[in-house]
Amino acid sequence: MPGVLLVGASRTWRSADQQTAIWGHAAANCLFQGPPFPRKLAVVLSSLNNRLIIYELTLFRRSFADAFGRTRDKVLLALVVALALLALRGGMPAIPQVREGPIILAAIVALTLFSWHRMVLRRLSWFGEHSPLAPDALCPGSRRSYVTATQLPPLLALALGVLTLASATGIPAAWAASLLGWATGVGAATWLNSLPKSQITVRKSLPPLQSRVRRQQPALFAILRHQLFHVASPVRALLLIVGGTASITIAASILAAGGPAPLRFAAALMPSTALLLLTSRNDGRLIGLLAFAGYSAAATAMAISILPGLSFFAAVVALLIARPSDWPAMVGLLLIVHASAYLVAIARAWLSPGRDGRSVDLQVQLELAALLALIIQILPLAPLALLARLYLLQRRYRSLLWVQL
Amino acid sequence: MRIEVRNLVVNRGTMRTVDGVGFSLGPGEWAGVVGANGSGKTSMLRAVAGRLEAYAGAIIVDSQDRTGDRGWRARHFGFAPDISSFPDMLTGSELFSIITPDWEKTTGVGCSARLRQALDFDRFIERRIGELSAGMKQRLAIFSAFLSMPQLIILDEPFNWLDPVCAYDTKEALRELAGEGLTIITALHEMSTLVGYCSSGLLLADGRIGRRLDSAEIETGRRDYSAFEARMIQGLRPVASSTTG
Repeated sequence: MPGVLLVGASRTWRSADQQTAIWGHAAANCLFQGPPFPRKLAVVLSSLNNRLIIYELTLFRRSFADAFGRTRDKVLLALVVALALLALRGGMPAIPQVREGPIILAAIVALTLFSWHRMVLRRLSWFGEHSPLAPDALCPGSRRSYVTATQLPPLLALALGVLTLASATGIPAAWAASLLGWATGVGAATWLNSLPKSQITVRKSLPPLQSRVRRQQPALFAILRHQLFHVASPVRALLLIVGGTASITIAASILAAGGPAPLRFAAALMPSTALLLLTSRNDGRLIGLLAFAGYSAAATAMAISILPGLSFFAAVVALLIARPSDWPAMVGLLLIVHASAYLVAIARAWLSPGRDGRSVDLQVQLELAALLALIIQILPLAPLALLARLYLLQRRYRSLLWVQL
Repeated sequence: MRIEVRNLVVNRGTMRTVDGVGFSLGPGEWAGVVGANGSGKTSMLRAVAGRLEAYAGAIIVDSQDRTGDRGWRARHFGFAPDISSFPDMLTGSELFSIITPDWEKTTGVGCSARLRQALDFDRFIERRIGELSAGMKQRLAIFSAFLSMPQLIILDEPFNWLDPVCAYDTKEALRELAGEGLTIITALHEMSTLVGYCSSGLLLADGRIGRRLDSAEIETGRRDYSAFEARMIQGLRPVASSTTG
């Protein structure tokens, strides 16, 4: 009975129509059945008052304030901004034009957008099931404006990337490759999200410690299980994928022998890099718990190193067996890629205790940007800055050992 | 608001958690849903509240079929989310303001003010949610269901973590709200709340209704609580559940 009020002694309950007004733009978008153009305009305008976006922006603002609340963090941020401005003023170093540039760019954009869009869709699904903002997340109009708004950060990053890589590909080709990559990434993520989901059992609790001698073992297994998407037998899975990576690297290196250099390098590096990217996930809450359970900074660093270490080892062994031309350069490149990914993982792990995952990610990304700017501008200072920062991070971690929040 | 649920089926992944549940409620009724852990209470309440897809069955609200419209149900039924879904970084006040910008004004009068008084969260509303105890978070979660002043409220085990005073005051406030026309569905684990406050009850076992309790049976339970509790517990035991449905 829409429109009918249930009148009580001191309060009038809101009717269905009034409920629609309460949920404001979300309800309006759901109910708006006009022609396509005004409907799209309504969606764009409503995104300015979209509760989901307001919620995300509030969380982002708070994460930012948490990450840079201390003076030394503010100094670090100022340094990042100064270096970025210096880099822009000095101009980026020109990248030599390569024929495969647009393909590489399209692949990078597609992979990035795929991950980003998957994250956005999962977030929307979580909102719809668990959040107090479920009414907004379940309204098509509100969902559309949320998805549209969440394309802005990758759009900005894409524009920056295109401008940076324009010298390697040419601007029209860079835009075309980026747009193709964008459409592929978003399309693939949307398609994957529409598939029926199977039941997944997630184990998040850390098994109890058994003895001082064997105390690292449970953490190692818990982290490994998480990195391997909670498979039933992590050791068997580990052996299988490491063996598989080595075999694929050998086969790809042999098949690509005699091809152009980019193809040979891609064949040699892609399998282990893909494995590293797919399994470099770490549960921030689990790792954060390690400090409170008495695991040292070194033990935590070791616990997250098994998979990246074995991935690197498998790739190097495969290269030594296949012996493609330029294999020493390939090993050097592998070392750089794996070491970079591992250092980022350690930074995240040492920042995790007592911190929210989002603020940790934000801080790591900004510090990474600062480091990249430093590498571009003053290369000799970069290793020193990196070592100093890692020292400070492990000191922070050590100070939180056994502390109960 | 009158709601009628017919043969509701809910799947979670590959598992069927609710299998052909049906009930009907009118304005001012308070239904208690009781069942063992994993019996399908939460899935059923979530599906009714639009938080989960209804795989089959019908959800009729005021004679209109709203089964396929999860968004409508989410907008029109108040639902208390799990406390783990609340953002640790925000304060209760910030969260409520995002959900309903003028929440302080709209909930400061009448029976919602009575509930607010019972939940007594004003003293910690400006503290970050991450700093609050489970009971404090639960108070915020309950009230968040009332922010849009809906005519039907769904609460999943709302009295968990609440201290005895707050639990008592909240139950009394809810009883008053039901008296003023609000329809309430709560999942419960205490039989005392079922007999003390609810007007009807459902016993769920293995995703099916094991037993329905009308107002007369609940009244009987009020008169002889011990015998009623023993009967209900017997009905909830796994062995007994195989004969129900």
